[in-house]
Amino acid sequence: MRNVFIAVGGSGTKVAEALIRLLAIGFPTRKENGILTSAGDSLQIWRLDPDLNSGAAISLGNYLKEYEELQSLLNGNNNTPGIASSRWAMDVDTRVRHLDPLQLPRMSDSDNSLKTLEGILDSRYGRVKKSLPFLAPFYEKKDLAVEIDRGFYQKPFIGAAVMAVFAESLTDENSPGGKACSLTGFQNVATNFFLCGSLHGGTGASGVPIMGKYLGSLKRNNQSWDWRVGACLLTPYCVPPQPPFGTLREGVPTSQQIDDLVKEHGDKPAFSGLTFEDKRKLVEQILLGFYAEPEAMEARARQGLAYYRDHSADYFDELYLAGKPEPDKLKVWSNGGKSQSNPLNSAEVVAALAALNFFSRAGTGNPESYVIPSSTEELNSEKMTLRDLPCYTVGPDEIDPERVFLATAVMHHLVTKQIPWHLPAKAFPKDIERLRKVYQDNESRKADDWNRFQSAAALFAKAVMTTIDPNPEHTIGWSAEDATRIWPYLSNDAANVKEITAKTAKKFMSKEAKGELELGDSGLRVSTFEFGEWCPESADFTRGEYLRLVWSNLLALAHKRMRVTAGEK
Amino acid sequence: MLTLLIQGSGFLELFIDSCEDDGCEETALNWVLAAVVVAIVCALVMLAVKWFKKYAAINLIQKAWSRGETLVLIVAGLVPVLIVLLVIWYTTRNFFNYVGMGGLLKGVVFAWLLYAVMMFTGHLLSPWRREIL
Repeated sequence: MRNVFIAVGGSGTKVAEALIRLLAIGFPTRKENGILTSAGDSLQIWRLDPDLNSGAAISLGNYLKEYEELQSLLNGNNNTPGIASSRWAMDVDTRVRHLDPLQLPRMSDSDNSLKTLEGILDSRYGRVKKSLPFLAPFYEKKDLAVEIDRGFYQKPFIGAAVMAVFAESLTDENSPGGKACSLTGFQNVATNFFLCGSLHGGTGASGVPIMGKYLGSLKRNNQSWDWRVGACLLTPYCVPPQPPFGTLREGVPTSQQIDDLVKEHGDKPAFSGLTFEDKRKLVEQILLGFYAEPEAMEARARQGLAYYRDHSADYFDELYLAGKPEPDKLKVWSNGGKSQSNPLNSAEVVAALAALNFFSRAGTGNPESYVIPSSTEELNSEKMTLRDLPCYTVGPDEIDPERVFLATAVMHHLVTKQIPWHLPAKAFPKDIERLRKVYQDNESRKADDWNRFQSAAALFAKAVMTTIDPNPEHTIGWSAEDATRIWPYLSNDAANVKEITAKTAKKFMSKEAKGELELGDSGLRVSTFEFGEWCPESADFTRGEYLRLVWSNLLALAHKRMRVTAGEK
Repeated sequence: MLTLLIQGSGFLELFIDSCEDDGCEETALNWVLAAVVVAIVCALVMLAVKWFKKYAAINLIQKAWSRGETLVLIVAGLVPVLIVLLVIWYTTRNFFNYVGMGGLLKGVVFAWLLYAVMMFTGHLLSPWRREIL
């Protein structure tokens, strides 16, 4: 199945990163020959954001490189340039299609060159006429004049006009947006389009409904294409701090006011890397109120939801809503660009799970109704655990994220620590006979696989830890509990290896494991002898295929543990 | 028949220091037989030890034996061969008196060689051959 993830704005881009991390960790979207996997499906990422070099985009690009490295370590010799492919996980096109809503077709050179709302509305191309004369009365002068190449400053009323012009331009395959999407390639191809952006922001709030409506209309007019359009809307889940100084109550800032503020605040992180002139522009922008206002987020989200209810929901096959009762508080104020590099939020992981649910073609409820599951009262959204994450379904199988993390961590341990890689393959015991047969006449393949498994394992460990470890550099909104418990499975420390090895040891006269491997509410019991029997039937399997089989078997063994409360001990 | 052949070949004289009295050849034969029996028993015991260790292994790493580990096991088996032969030699008056120190050393080396051949053969004739080749 072909999937397209359309990340709208900074929040959508962070969710795209979370999605790639989850795919790397092993989250499945389909079942093939009894094995849960995402391999065989493909994913393209489109990024709809005027802020081309935002910190979120850089972070996504960096993580895609790691995903590509992981996939290349796990595949055979089947390398397609730009596609991170293996039998471990979904093929991901690592070339993110940047859809810049400000890159619009033009009739003359002066059209669509000024990156302000006024500049765009005062342009024309093809049959599209200038709309400034009709729309200008709805805006204040400062709204029309502000530069919007770093986003829409959480002002959907600015973004909506720009996005509408952009969506219209997509119908022309020769427009910049049309070329980037090349939607003709999707005609008659079953595809899941999933949009994600914030309800309360500028780019997300305006981009998701307009792009959704555009794709939904195409789908309605071409039912045979087997397209599905879904979206996840993020309600306020983190709030930025206030900018270094407040807005003017009225009027426009004077040059002296701007210079004084540049002098006072010009060396703060939000201004780093800017030229003096850019600093002046930013000061002016803040004074005029063009920044994310934390107090207005909830109201904007409410308005956004009302808009979906009245105008937009019908275009989507599935709409998911993710957020937090108490938004996390970010520490660094940013105007966008490289400095807006927020840690991965647990709410973004929840949204990525919604995307996986959609990609697996699982439906929630029926089209005529709402399904409103919500978190439990016990959930502390500032310190979430893996057991708080929502489950999703792949066919008849329920996928519990906590069990997925456990299966991946145990797989990491078993493959790197419990196979006698240091011995010639012919000396492997009969309990791993299939691997022995594959390697015994091909020691160089064994050595190569071992090296690559080790490198891949390091990337697995990094993916797991940087997704849930509550290190403010990496993530926000997680409890340290899971990271602490999962680390021993991923560690090379002798004491940790010994402890896990003792649990995977078999009982005397039985293949059953002595101990249970645990993570939160999940547990699994596996001995190395059971693990040794898992190997693909065909001798020419790839590393990814082998890991996926092991992982799928481990996931099948994982179960809910009986919770022992303090009073019962 | 084999005994007569061995007795007639002068092979037994290698294992005895002095053969001036009657019956010394019989003593030499007994000493060689003792070495053979000890080598066989020790080889069987060491193979049984290996089988048990593999059977009782609690994980794949323990169950997999490297060539080095196998050689260490074989070398370790030389010690009981030596000790048992020493005990037999010392506690049997004829061996002590007629076999002597030289015969003891030759007997031990002979038993070691036989033990090693048996250990290698045991591995080569079983699936454990992969652990030694």
